[in-house]
This record gives sequence, structure tokens and C-alpha cells, in this order.
Amino acid sequence: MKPTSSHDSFDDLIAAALHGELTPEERTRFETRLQTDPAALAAYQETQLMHDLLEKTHREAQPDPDFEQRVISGVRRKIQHEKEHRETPWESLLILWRWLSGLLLMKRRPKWQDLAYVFGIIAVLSCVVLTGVSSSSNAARRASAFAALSSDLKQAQRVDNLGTIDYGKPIRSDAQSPGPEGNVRRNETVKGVAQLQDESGRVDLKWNETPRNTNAVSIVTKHSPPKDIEKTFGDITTLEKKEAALRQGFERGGLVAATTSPATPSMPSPIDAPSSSIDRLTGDKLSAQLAINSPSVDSAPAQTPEKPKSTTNDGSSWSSAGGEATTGSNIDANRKLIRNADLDLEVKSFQTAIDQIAALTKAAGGYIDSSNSQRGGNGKLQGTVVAKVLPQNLDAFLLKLRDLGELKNQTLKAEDVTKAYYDTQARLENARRMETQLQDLLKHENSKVSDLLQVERELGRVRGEIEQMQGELKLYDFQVQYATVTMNISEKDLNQAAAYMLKEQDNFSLFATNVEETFQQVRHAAEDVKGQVLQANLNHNSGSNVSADFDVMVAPEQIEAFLSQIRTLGRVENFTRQTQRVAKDGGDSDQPADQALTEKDKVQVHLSICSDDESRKQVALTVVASAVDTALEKAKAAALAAPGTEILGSSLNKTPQGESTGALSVRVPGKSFQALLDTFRALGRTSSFSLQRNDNSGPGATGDDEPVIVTLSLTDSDAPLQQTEMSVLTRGVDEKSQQIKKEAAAAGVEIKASGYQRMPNGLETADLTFRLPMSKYAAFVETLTKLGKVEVLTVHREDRPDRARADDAAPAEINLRLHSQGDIVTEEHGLWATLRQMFGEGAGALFGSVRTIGVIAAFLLPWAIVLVLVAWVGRRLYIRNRK
Amino acid sequence: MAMDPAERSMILAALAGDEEAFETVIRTYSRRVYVVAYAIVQDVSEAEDIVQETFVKAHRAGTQMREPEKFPAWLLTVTRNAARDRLRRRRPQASEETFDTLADEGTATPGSALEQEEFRAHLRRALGRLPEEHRTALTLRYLEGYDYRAIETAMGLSNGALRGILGRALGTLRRMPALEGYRP
Repeated sequence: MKPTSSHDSFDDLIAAALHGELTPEERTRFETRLQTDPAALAAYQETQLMHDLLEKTHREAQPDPDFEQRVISGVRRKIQHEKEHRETPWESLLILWRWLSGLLLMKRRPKWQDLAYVFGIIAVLSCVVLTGVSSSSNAARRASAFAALSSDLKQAQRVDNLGTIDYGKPIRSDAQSPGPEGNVRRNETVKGVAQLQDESGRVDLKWNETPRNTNAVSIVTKHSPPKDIEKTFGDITTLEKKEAALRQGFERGGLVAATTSPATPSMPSPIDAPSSSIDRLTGDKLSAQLAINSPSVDSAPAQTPEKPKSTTNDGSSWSSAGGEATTGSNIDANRKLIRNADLDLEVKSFQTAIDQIAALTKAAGGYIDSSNSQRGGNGKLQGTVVAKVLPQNLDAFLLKLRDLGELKNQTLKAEDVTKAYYDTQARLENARRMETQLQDLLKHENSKVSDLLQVERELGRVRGEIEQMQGELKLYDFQVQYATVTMNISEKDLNQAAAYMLKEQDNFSLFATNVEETFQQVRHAAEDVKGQVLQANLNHNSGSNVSADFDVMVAPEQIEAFLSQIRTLGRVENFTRQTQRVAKDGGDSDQPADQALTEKDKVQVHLSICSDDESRKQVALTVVASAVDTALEKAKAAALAAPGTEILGSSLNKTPQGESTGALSVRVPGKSFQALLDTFRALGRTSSFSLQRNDNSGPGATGDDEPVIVTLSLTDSDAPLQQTEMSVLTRGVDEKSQQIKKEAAAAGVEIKASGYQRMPNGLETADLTFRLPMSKYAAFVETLTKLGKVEVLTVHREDRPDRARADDAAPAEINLRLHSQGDIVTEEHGLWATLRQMFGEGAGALFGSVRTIGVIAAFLLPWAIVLVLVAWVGRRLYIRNRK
Repeated sequence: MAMDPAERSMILAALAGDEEAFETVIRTYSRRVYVVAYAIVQDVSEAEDIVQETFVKAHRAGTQMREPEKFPAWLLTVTRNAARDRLRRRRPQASEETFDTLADEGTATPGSALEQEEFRAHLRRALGRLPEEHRTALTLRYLEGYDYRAIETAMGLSNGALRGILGRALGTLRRMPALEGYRP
């Protein structure tokens, strides 16, 4: 079984034979030995089994295609974890203090580990201090770099005064689990802001920095003359002057990555401008933005990438025009930049512009991808043209486009897809390798059918991925090969209207004595002028009130005739005329209309017909009468007796308290108005009177024979002439109040209200209100003062201007309050009461605190349970992981 | 051996703190590091852990490293040390169940899946008992599929020495008591 010792050279031969590393001579010797020595053959066969096993075992241990991505994510996570769980200086100090106190109190003997620990803590603290110093020196470095950058810009722009600079804090810092491609990055952004001021206006300069990745500079001017900013912008974008200044500035500030090796074929150029835009704001104001990329080595793939087939991007004008910024075309050859431009142009003739664009596109080695146009109602054309040009010709192409008309807006973007491109390429290679491996597996003869099916399925999936990635690469290649220019072209005065319509609307109110008759007359008038009636409503409102609305469209030449006819029907008020000019084709009606036609549309007339009553002389009076119903009947009879008088309405109301009110509204001819008014006044005391007359009313309103509207209000509730407030201190309030009620009844004094109240402290109060004629006032007040000690007495009298009524008969009102003295000492006194109160309050406080503790426990307990559970699970996991 | 300039720049950028360059470094070296780690610990997940640990250390040490040419060798040394550390930590537990006792415990029927699994466990342990040099050579051969010349370059060995190592490694495995007589 064991043909050899622990080791002999035949073992080496077996191994080399199994690994296919035998020379021809060795092979001959080996095969001879196998044929002649059965023990050697057995050893070979056993080793071959072992070899197969090792192959199988190692195949399983081979890293899968996601291995690298997993490692990257793991490393990121661990680095992040380290950063987050770094011991703070305070923690270090606390541990040091504990250790020192233990040592000083001689609780333990010092060991060499303690010494190492002290050194460790000192080292950590030193690191913390040094980090602080270094970060502050970084800030200082950036500030000085900004100063240098500003001075460079200052020279170029004649800037006299520099504004402030502000560095923001990192705004984002995250390390997430990788996405589908694992490209989530950690970003820390430092912002720099500066304002540059010169005599022509202000320039805001801003940049955002992602460390060693992207620096963006945006220049926004608010007041600079357009030519200046265009020049500045042009200078920067073409990298003729400012590029060097900016680059130096950023490099001095450490904002550009240290790696600037020009020899690396897969490295991008140190400075690039992947996006810029220029926007024409209102008037002369312009803003421009330029983003500059610092070098990054992200696009260097692990595997040597294929040389891209497209060579269109090798000499992009951004870097080739930059003089010293150029780092060799072999660098740019591997860059994958997608360049796009959008611009808005205003031209005189759309068709000419399209022809010129077609010619320019052809000259720039491109083609028109799509175009569309539409004609507005005013005959003006606008449309969009999408052209594809070779990227190296893009800048020249854009400059030439400016000659076609006025450039309203321009945006230039460059998207760097180098990383995505090579990532996809690397993944594609991995997938191809996997495909090969899977194909090898399929060839294996000893495999089971189920295994083969699984391999087939996997192979299908991998092939799908390969096709998808190939498609992506092709798309990138195409996008990189041609720059896309989207032009929105419009002819001048696009929105100007070709013709206008003058719309007129007349509104007024027509007052007439007979609304219904007038309404019919207006309809006839409208028919006479062949007007188109849009709306005609006759409304019967409450009472005898009638009103009407009328809407009619009248031809402009007939309008004056129609209005003059209407004026004869009644009094016209609130006349308004609105005129509006409307663009006929929906264009902009604010545009000047020197050339445009203006037509007059039909006039819309809207009139409201109202009863003239509302505008006549109106009289309203209130009479206080003891018997309202009788007085109302008398008033009605008087009204009916007067010739030509019409009762418009009447009402009588009685409240549960016995108060009555009445109202009567009549239309009286002017001649009999005064007589009727006198009759009304005789019904009682006139408490109010008002007269309203519209002297500027229409025809007939001023004549004395015109009807007058009289509104009579009747009431039996007269306001007291004298009001008295009395407060009397007495004992036996209840008895006294009963007594005074009896006395009042005997004296013929009306008791309007009364009330009685007793408080727990023995205080009694009774409130009584009396109403009595002034003749009985003095005697009754005298009776009241005898009830007890008068504490408060207030008298208020309203003297009336009308002396028609004698004071004696005028009503007076007395509000009386009777009250007793409350108990000074409460019943709750003495030792037992005090003890009872004390224990009661103590028990209340105790139960209150128990309840509070219960609430807190109920709130905290679930959290405590959750925390304990989480800690327990965490510990279990930790222990398992350690195992 | 002179380093490729592109690789040199990439390592420089990565050591200077460029996250994306560091990612590329990981992509470039992680498999090599894995092989070294696996050769020592003979465990897939542990080897992957060591790879991550190694790159974390590289990230930490970044700015202190001056010569990018020495970076690959440094990386592999760190890996080797980390893997040996793991092995040392693992050993006290492993020593309790030695080969021979495990071999007698087998209750599985021959040819069953359980038996195969058990056998593989034996094989892994047997590999673990081989000298590190032998394990490395076997791993480079079987895991990475290197030919002899590539292994010689990677390990700095002569052809004769490598043949001896591989011959001895396979011979030793074949003669391990736990593996003897195994028929799949």
C-alpha cells in the first residue's frame, strides 16, 4: 500500500504528472515505472483521487464575481465604524483618571501593561490635538489659496474690492451599503463663497468641493454689462487665461487632488470643464456657470480596458485650448464625455435660419437629428432643431450659431461617463469569464442532469446580463461620438397679435315707478334695434317689491339710439362703460398694435330695472303707545281714510313678556303726507323720527305731489326716565324682600323681576326691579331706605327734549339689592376639623404621587424591556460571531 | 521589478486618501490577498474577513507609506500576519478534536453526502496541518490555477524546490490516517 517512504522523488513526479508539468523524458520514465511497479500505480491512483478532491474543494473556495464589491463594501463599513467609534478625549481622560486614582490609592500594583496604557492614552490625546491643529491649518491654507485666486481674478477683471469668504462645514457624510453597482460614495463638501465688486457691478464667485473629486465654480453677475460677462465667461470656458489662474488657486488650496501624473493613460486631465451654462436674464443681465473637474483616478479599471473605438473625443476643446493644462491626447483618448448644448435663438426668418443651421451642421461633421416647426395664428414660425455634431467642433459650431440671431439662452453640459463606462466594461469581462466557466461546467461528463439544468439557467442569466451591458456600452459610444445640440428657434415678435377686437360693455340701473311695464318697454326697445337678448328676468320679491334684469347685445352703430330710448323710460343711474381690446388670434394683447387691425364687436348692455320707491322721500317714526294693537288699528284707519294712500305692509308682534310692537308702511301722496303724519304722532309719544329725501333723483322725484313712503313703528316699551341702583344691608333678607313686594303691590308699583340667593357662608342676597311712575318714585324710595342700612344709591336720569309728556307720568326704574352680612368664621374650625383636613390633604398627595409613579412605570417599562431584549440579542450575536 | 506607472499612480492616489483610487486598489489586489489568506486559514469566510481587515489596515496606514513599489509586498505580509493571528486564536479550540478521534467518530454511510462533507472537513484540517509553504503552493495551484512558473515567481522558489513542495504536500495528504482509504 505504501510504496514509498515519507518522501521520495516519485511523489514529485506524480504531482508534476497530475499538474501537467512533466518533461517528455520524465513522462517516459514515469509511465515505465507505473507499468512495472504496481505499488507506484496504486500511489498514483490515490494521489489522483486526492488531486481531484483538492480541485473540487478549491473550486468551491474560489471567490465569486461579487467578491471585490463585497470587500469594498466591507472595508468602507469598517472604516466608517472605526471613525464613529473612536474614543473621545473625554473618555480617554476618564479612563486615565480611574487608573491613576486606583494607582494612587494603592489598590493595585503598577504593571508594565499600565505603563503601556498611559502611553497609549497620551498618544491618543496627542493625535486629537494634532488633528485639531492640522484641520485649522487646512482652513488657513484654503483661505490663503482663495486670496491668491481672488487676486488672479482681480487682475483679469479689474476688481477693486473683495467681499467675504465663508467656509461651510461638511454637509453630507455617509457610507451606505452598495447599490446595484456599488457606486455609493462618501461625499464631504466644502463651500467657498466670495463676492467681487468692481465699478461695473458685482460678481458672486462660489465653489463646492468634494474632496479630490469635483470643484465647481459658478460666476453669477447681477449688474455687469453683458459684454463683460460674456468675455469673462468665454475666457474661462476656452481656458485661455482663467483656467491657469483657477487651477493654481485650487491647487494652492489643496482643492485639487495631488495626483496629476500625465503619463497615466487612464487618468483624466487635471482640469476639465464638463459643464457650463450661460443664461440671459431680463434686460442686460446675464449669468454664467462653469464647473471644473479636478483629477480623479476612479476610472482606472482593474483590468486593462480596451482602447475605445471612438476617437472623436480625443481633442476636446476644453483641454486642448488650455495650453499648459493639456496633458496629452493619450489621456483624453480614454475619457468618455457626453457633451450636450441647449440654446434658445430668436431669428428674423425661421426658414433662413433652418437652412443655415443645416449647412453649419454639415460643416461641423454632423447631421440634423430631428426638427419640427409650428406656425402661430399671426403667421410667425417657431420650432426645435436637434443637431448632432462632432464634439471637437461643438464650440465653433455654437459660436457660429450666434450669428444667426439673438441668443436668448444657452446651456452647455458635459457628462463624464468614464467611470460608468469602464465599470460596465469590467463587469462585462467578469460576466464573460463566468460564462466561460459555466460552459466548462456543462462539458463535465459526470454532472447530474439537475446540476446541468441549473448551470443552463445560470448561463442564460449571465448571457442576458452580457447583452444588456453590451447595449449600454454601445449607447455610451454613440453618445460620446456625437455632441447633441438642441436649438429652440423662434421668429421675432412671435407673440404679437395680428388683429384685435374691441369689446364694449355698458352697465346701468333704470329706476321706474312701474317695473313690469318698464320691463316690457325695454324689450320692445331692444327688438326695435334688432338686439340679441341674452337674458331677461322679472323678479317678484317679498312684498310688492319687483325688479328685473336685462342683458342684450346691440350692434355698435345702434347702441346710442337704444340707450336714448331707454333713458326716456325712467331714471338712469350708475352708468359704466367698459372697453377691452382682445387679440383675435389669442396672441399677446399687450404688444404694440400699430400695424394690427382693430374691429368693434357688438356692445353688451346689462341693465337692472328697479322700483323707484326706494329712491323717494322716506319717513320713519317710532311711537310709544300703551296699547299697540289699538294704536295700529287707528293708524291703519287713518291711512285708509286719506285719499290716494296705499298700505304697503303692516305687522303686529307680542312677546311672552307682554311687550308688543307693531309696524305699518304706507305710500302717501305728497299732499296728504303731513296730515297723516300728525295723526300717527297723536297715537303716543314719538321717540324717534327720521326723514330721507333723494333730491338728486330723476324726473318727478322732487315734486310735492310725489308719493312719500312712511314707515311707522309702534311699541309699548318706554325707556325709563330715571334709573336708580340701591344696595341695602339688612338682616333677614328673605323676609324683608317679601315685605317690600307686598308694599310695592299695595302702592301700585310694578315688580319687573326678583331673585333670592343664599351662600354657604350665610350671605343672603335678594335682587328686585321695580317700575313705577315718577309721581310715586319719591315715596317708594323712602319706603326702601327703611329696610336697612343704605350702602349704595345711584340715580341716573335721562332728560328728554320732548316736553309733551309730564314727568309725573314718565316711568322710573329701581334696581334694589338687599343683602346680609356673611359669617366671618366658617363652621370648619377647631382641632378635629384641622386634623381631618390635614390627613385628608396628606392622603390626597400620597395617592397623587402613587398615580404619577404608576404612569411613569407604565411609560418606561416597555422601553426597558425592549432595551434589555436588544442588548441580549446583540450580546448573543457578538458571542456567536466571536466563535 | 519595475512597477507599471499607471499602477504606481493609482497606489499613490489611494494612499493619499483618494477613495475611488483606493477602490481600484482593492479591485486589483483583493484576489491575490484572498489567495494568501486562504492558503493559511483554509476557510472561505475567514479568508474574506482577513482581506477586508488587510485593506482597512492599508487605509489606516495610507499616508505613512512613502514607496508605492513596496505596497503589494506590504499588503501580502500584513495578510499573512493577520491570517496567522487567526490561526493562533483558533488553535486552542481545534486542538481538542484531533484528527484521529474525529476519524473514529464517523457514523455516516460510505458515499453519502454527510460522509463527503465530513471528509472535506477532514481534508481542510489535514491541509491546516501542512507547512504554510506547502499550503500556499497548493492554493496557488488549485485555487488560482497558476502553472509552476507563476508559482515559482510568486513564491520565489526554484522549479526543483516547488516540485518537491507539491510532491511532498500531495504525498502527505495521501498518507494522512483520516484520509487514507477514502473512495468517493
